[in-house]
Amino acid sequence: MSFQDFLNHILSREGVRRLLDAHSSKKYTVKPRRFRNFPTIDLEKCVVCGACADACPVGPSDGKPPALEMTDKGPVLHEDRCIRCGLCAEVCPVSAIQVGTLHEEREEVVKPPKPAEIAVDPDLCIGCGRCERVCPSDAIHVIDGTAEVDRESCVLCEACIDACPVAGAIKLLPMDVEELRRCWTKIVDTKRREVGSR
Amino acid sequence: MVCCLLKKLKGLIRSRSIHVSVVNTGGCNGCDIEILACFTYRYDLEQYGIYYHNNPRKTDVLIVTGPVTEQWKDKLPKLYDKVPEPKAVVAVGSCACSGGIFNQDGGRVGGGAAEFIPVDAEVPGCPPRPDEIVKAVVEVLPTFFRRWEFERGGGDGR
Amino acid sequence: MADKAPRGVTVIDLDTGEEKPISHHVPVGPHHPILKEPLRIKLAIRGEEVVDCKVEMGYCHRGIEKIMEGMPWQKAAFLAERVCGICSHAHNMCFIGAVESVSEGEPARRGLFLRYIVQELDRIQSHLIANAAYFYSIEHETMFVWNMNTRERVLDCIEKITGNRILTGWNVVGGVRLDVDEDTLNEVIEVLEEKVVPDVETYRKIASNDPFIKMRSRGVGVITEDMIRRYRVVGPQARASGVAQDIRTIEPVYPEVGFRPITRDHGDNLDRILVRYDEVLQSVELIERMVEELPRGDHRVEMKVEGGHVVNRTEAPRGELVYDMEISRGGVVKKATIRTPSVPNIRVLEAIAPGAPSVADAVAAYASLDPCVACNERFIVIDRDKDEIVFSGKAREVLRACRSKTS
Ligand code: SF4
Repeated sequence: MSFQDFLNHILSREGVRRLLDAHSSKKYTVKPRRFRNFPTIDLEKCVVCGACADACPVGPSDGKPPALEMTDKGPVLHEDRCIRCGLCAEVCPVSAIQVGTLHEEREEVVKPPKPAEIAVDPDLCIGCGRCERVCPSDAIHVIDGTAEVDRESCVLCEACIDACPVAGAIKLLPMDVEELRRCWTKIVDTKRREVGSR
Repeated sequence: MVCCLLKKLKGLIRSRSIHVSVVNTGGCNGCDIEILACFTYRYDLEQYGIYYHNNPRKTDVLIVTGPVTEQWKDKLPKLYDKVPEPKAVVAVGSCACSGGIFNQDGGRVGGGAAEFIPVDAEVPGCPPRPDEIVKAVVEVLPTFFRRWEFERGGGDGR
Repeated sequence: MADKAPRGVTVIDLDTGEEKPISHHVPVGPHHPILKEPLRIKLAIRGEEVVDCKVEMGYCHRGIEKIMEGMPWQKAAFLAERVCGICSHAHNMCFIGAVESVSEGEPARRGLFLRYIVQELDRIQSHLIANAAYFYSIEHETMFVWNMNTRERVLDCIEKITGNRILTGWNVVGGVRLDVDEDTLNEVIEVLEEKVVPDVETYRKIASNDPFIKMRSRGVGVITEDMIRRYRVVGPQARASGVAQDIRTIEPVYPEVGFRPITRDHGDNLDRILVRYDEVLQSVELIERMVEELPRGDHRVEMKVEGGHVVNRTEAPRGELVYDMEISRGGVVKKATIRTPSVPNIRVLEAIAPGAPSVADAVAAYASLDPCVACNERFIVIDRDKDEIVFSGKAREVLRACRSKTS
């Protein structure tokens, strides 16, 4: 046990521990939405026209290159000179330069996926309306002689399946596992980003 | 063995109580304001044991913002000398890193702070977000002071 | 203490010519715990009383006007913004307004409204930080932190609209850079109404009732109307002394939303603080009305720059801001002169500091003037004979140097 571990052991009350852990905290690495970041240059797309280097407001001086320097391989960004104005991204004719998240649309709201869904077989449904009566969340309605499920408000209680007089007209279809996993990963990522930006 | 332990203890204590002083060497104020924002509720650098003092004789860390203007060229090294020995310099903003937008034809500024005093960490951006400043400061400084005794040795520093 | 003044050390009052014995010089700055920015204030004190004050500037001179020469407006706008990081939007807007007034056509109406919405948000955050700095200088930490916290919320609004907290690069000739959708504006108004307005009202109540703040601020650093005329003080500093001068009355958009300048009469530290709080609340109202009347259409139109000589004025958070520029056809800046509000506002300290009962009061008076040193460094004088730079600072010297050149 090293000396610091020993100290940590003694001082392992909650607040003190947080202080000690703080140095390895990665909480601040995630940038919030809509912040103007350093430009990223996609050299694959670049046509080496030089427009970005012309537009850059940070010019060269003796000993220091401009923020966006044009070399024969393409534009090179010097981060210590860049002021993140975004002019280079505006002038690029092939949009090879992207600036942070400024030009992005708002992210769509991601909702947790449902593990299954209620499906109505239109051929078997007789349109009796019993399911409509038993549904606790008002999610199933008979429209033109066929029951239809509103997936948003359905809570998967299966009351309609019990009430249906025709066997097999209403079924519970589980979702594809892969699909489910993908949805959940996306949600967890978004949530983590939100927490980080706060 | 005892010496090593003592060094570790010193480093540990130093890394838990860091006093910083902000020097504006002629910047536009943007970086200063963002640094000031780091010390208020939302970003709260003090929870990591970093305190704002602004008196160079009491501090461990100089945070330099802005390009080094003509008037500051001799004063910045003087100010640096006044900081007592285990000391670090953080350059915040592209001005302090390289002169930024002012260091081009026609401007009357020196390059970044690194041309006049040794700089240990740089935070580019114009201005960097408080998050970025907090991240840089919290990642670099405590480690720096913890290791200082072993790497630089007492006395014969830079 | 006054009797023990060292022999032979006197200061000559430059206006009246009489000699005053002094006991000490107290240099404040260029790097000092109370100053966020480099500036040198030389105080001559007798005992505790301040008898004389000189302000020296020149620590922030970067030569912005010179760099601007020969730059197209697209680049120079970013440079203009970096004159001052706190009221950056005002500089950007004034510069773009100057270029627009020498070009064909009119800027987009929607763009203009969006521009002034951000300008008012910028004013709110600038006033809050000015008051925070004042409370810090009289060591009222609680109010300092509260003010800064409210400011963070306003910065969030600015970031939502423009994509950056400060130095937004928001204006372009013909309008603004990006369009803003209604939801964002409604969110902004919600934050302003639910968080900022109640907070600021509380602060105003505390500032005007708290006996401690009153003791330190009432009757300290009084600016009289005479001083305003002599030093050409502008902005909230002048309005706190009852002079209702505000460029917003002649700017576009503002008359349409019913703007009237706010004044108070005492002209001391406390009134300057209160005027700023009043203006914050007024700005919230202006923003609400602007959002209500926000016209539909393009946020940006193409405008061809004709070129010419132009003087443009804006009401920056600290007062009247003037850009005097010569622009060539196509939009290249030939020559630029910037006159920022802080130049007279800081110089008036030389008039109000003498007579202050203690150094702490002089420093508090300085902080209440909302000084912005980065704005300040606007000229440089070169002595050709010795080939050396005589920096500004001693304004008299500069004046003499200018006169000897022209006469
Ligand atoms: S880096 Fe940018 S924000 Fe910081 S002082 Fe320089 S110009 Fe101002």
